[in-house]
Order: sequence, then structure tokens, then C-alpha cells
Amino acid sequence: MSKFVYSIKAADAYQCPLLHETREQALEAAKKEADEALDPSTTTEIYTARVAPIFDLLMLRVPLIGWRCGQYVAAAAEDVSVLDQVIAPLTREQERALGRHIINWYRAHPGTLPATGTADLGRHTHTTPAGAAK
Amino acid sequence: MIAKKYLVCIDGAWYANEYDSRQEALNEALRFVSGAYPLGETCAVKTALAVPAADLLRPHAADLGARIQSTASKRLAFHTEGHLNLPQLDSVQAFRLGNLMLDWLEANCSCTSVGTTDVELHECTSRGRVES
Repeated sequence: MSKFVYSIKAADAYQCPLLHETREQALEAAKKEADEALDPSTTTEIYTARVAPIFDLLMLRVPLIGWRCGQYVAAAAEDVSVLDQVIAPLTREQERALGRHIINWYRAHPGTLPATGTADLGRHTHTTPAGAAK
Repeated sequence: MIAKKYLVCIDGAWYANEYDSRQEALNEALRFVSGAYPLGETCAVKTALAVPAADLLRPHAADLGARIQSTASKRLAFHTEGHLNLPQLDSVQAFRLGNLMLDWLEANCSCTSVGTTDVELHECTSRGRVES
């Protein structure tokens, strides 16, 4: 089940660690906090985002990570070999498979990644009520 | 232990045949040059140690691992609009990650069976005399 967080872009943007069931709930909580914490008639940006395991976020980039790996190998091979081609260019399927293999290594090695990140950012503009108490 | 093998390159073209020693590789190159080139013509011959492609890249494993981490971090930052970057891997982790990739490539890709290293250049003539 997806959870959502919010952050308020004030002097220093920060992300509230509380989790909300829906994006709308996160946004309402952010607006309430902004109304209480910021000066009257202050316009600020609020971000809402879905909380997701880092592995899931990186899995979306698997083909590109695999493709990059192939590029790195080719560059390294140029330095150490006189042959034009030490490892043949990867097919797209190989790139995806290599990318998945790399991400699975991260999954198997706790500490190499944060536990969670945020995705699906939503940007909202909010103005605190005029004359509201700080 | 796998025996060392050597390759030859004549005028820029590497040949697939492998030889058990550098001298044997060079001798074969000279025989070829003597038969195929006009008398007295000079050409460049290289000999090189043949090693498995993945092994050739093992010394670069830590650097490869660090590059992978950098790529993953950039991809994550892009996906989260800059909200998240990955911590740097320590040198041991980077080394392991780079080796993991090389292991995978060795097992799953049509790697060239050998790369080359320890290259030596020899100047040869069709008379078969080795200048250096």
C-alpha cells in the first residue's frame, strides 16, 4: 500500500517524516502546518510524494544502468587492450538483465542504499490565510 | 592454471591464432612476412600476451563499481527530482560491485575470448631479421 509524505519549501525545505495514506491527506496536513508556521499571506510551495523502496525506484532505470555499465567496460577495455572490441556491445535485453543484476546486488547489501525514497512528486502552491496568527 | 598464450599483429591486423610463447608467435609472424611480403620489405609486428577479456578488466573493478554507483545515484536523483542521492560506496564495496558486473559479463555475454596485454613491438623484414 502506497504511503505519502509532504515537504514545505520555506527558508529551509524539509520533509515531514509522518506518513499519510493518500496524497490528498498529505497535502491537507502540509497546508495546516504552513498555516500555523508561516506568516500571514505567505505563498509557499508544498511537495507531496509517494514513499517507495529505493530498489523500486532504481528498477525503473534498469535499462539505462545496464547500458551505462556496457559503456564503462568499453572505456576501460580501451585502456588495457589493443583489440578494438573486448566485450561485444550489449543487446537491450542484456542491458536490462545486467541492470537488474546490479540492483539486486544493492538489495543484497544493506547499507549501500537508503531504505526508502520518494517518487511521483506533486508540486502545490499554497498561500496562508491573511491575518492568520503565526 | 591456464598456460600463457600469445597473439601476433602484423601491420595493424591481429590474428586469431594463439601460440605458447612469445618467441613462437614472433617466429610464426616472420614466416608469414617472409612468404607474403616482397623481399626486403619492412613491416611492424606486435606480439602480446593473451588473457581472458574479463580478467583484463579486473584491475579496474573498483573504478567500474564507483562509476556504477555514480550512475545509480544520478538516475535516482533524476527520478526523485534531486531529492535523493546515494551514499558513496567504500572501496571494498566498489571493488565487489565492479567484479560482480565483470562476472556477469563473463557468464552472459559473447566476450571476446582473449584480450591482449604486455604488447611488444618488433620491426621485421621479409628476410626474417628481427631488428628489435
